[in-house]
Amino acid sequence: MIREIKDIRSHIHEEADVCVIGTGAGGAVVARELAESGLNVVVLEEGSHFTAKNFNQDPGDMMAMMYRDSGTTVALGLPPASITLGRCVGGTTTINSATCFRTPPEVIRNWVTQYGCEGLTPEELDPFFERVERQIHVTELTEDILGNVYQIVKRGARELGLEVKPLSHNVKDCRGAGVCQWGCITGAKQSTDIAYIPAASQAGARIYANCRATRLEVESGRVRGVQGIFIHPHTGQKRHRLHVKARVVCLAMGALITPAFLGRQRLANTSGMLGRGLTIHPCGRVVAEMDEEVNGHHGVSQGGMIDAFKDEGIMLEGIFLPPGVMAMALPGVGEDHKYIASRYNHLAAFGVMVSDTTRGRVRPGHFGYAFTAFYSLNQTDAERLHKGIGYVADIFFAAGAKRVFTGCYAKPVLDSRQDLAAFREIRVRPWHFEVMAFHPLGTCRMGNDPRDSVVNLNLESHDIKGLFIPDGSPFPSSLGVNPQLTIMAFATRCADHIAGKIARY
Amino acid sequence: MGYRVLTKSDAAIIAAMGSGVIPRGGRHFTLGAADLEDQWLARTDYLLARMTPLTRVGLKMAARALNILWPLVHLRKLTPLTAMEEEERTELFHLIENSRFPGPLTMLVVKVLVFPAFYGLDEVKEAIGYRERYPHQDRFEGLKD
Repeated sequence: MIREIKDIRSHIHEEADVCVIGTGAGGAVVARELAESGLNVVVLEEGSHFTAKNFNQDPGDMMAMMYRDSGTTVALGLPPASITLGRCVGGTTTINSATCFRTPPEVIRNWVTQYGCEGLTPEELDPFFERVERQIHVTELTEDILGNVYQIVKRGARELGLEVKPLSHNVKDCRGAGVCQWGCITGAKQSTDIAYIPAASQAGARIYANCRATRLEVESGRVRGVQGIFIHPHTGQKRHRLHVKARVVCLAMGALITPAFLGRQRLANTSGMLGRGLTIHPCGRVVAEMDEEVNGHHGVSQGGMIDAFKDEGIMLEGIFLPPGVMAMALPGVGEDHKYIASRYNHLAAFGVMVSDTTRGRVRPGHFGYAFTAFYSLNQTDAERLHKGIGYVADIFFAAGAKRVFTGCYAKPVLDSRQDLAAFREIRVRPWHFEVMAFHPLGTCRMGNDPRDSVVNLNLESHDIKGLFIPDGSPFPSSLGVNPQLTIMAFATRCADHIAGKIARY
Repeated sequence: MGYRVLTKSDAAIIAAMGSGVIPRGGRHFTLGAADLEDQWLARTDYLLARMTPLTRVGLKMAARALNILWPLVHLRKLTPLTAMEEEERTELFHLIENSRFPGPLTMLVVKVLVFPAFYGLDEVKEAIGYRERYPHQDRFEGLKD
């Protein structure tokens, strides 16, 4: 059972083996695994609990309801990068595109050689990936569900000798409603609020929604518990307090909030690495106007991918959005805008995701913000984004596009392949792009050496015994792929470790 | 009309932004932002109401600055956006969009305040021929806090 603010009548005191903060890809997994292994678990989540009964497919309403800060979260820098985060039971898994990738083995090997993660191997992680994939039902979808944009890109890519691969999704009986990021109306997406939280609850975990963790209690280098407060999700009014006495605490608030939470209390930072090393996978979206009717919104929003350029740090992945959000990515006002809006059913779109070399920083937030993030795209990543946009534009022209919208202010519209050639010659600067990002990682880096990492390979803090960070924060570099499965697999591994060693705490 | 967080002057500025980027009439669809002002402004108000107060204040300040400063910068006029004719507003936004940084970023603020709210209205969806794959949701019980 999930208790929300409306169910709480007085201050609450709990005693538990483990207190988990956050119910996204990390927290929900740890909560379920530990509850099912017989431990006494309490879970805190700042957002509310929503179900398909509350989803109306409207991005404006859904952003206001489920996204942190109505979807206006940004990392400050030049250019500012918008980073969308979920604030609800299920966290960002409730509003992501349900795309699943295992961690690329070369990334793990890089962590071993470059970031002091000796002992970690891709093979060791395989059983955890298998367990998670079964749990969230990772599957390949049929082509009609992947949608027409997938077909268009496939056609263009074939002309250029490239291969488009279908993406794997965590869905059950998906009918391709096309609104994955705005709450799955059919309940097909196996986000953690569906695949993990109910099972955690059934196994005895007590779950408190609308409860913000305010303080970590630490005594003699050991974690002792958590203080929290129930906050009305709309008015922000603070009501009753929650105190959890726990032997182990799992902070799984995501790579932006976890370091800010610890930083505010000046904890877990003898390495000086807390909040540093932020990577976000900067993304661009390329939109093409086609002659044919596309209806890109009929089918999953992220259907296929092209990984032919991954050695250049560029991944091309599908993306499609409803008109109100799509229009934000398109140039033009007045009649120009109305023309392109009226052509919505003839638009195709595909995304560019950069494995970033830029590193940002997270600090504690002020004035009601949970965190302050700084991230200024560097020239290398701007050039990668530029190159990736060029690749997608080329594919769209090969598929018969009339016009391509680049999302690059230096040349926002390409009318022909000649224009594309000119676009490729432009010297771009980072502020020429409208940068979006979806995968913050790396702000509590893992490693074996306490001098340059925040947590060890079991995701336990080097500084505070019993404090674990099973979210995206420990990954020392960009993955180059969507991270939800990696976070879930590491969280499962972390839960196994805690369950096996609980007597120590 | 009463709003949760928008004052009358905030609403007037955002309505002026809307009518500049989506004017009435034209060859493609005739609906303009001004035709459905009350409906989409209420939606923008809801979106703003759920933001962190400082974000909301920041966006409102940006809108006020745009109202006064951008006509001065681009059109050399002291007339605020709210006092302009629709065509003139469109011309101003065209100039802002095609100006150097931070012009495009300013347009993003305008679009955030107008587009998700406007294009979520049924009349607008119909005007541009947008229809969800599964438009009828028997299970929908309403939005929740």
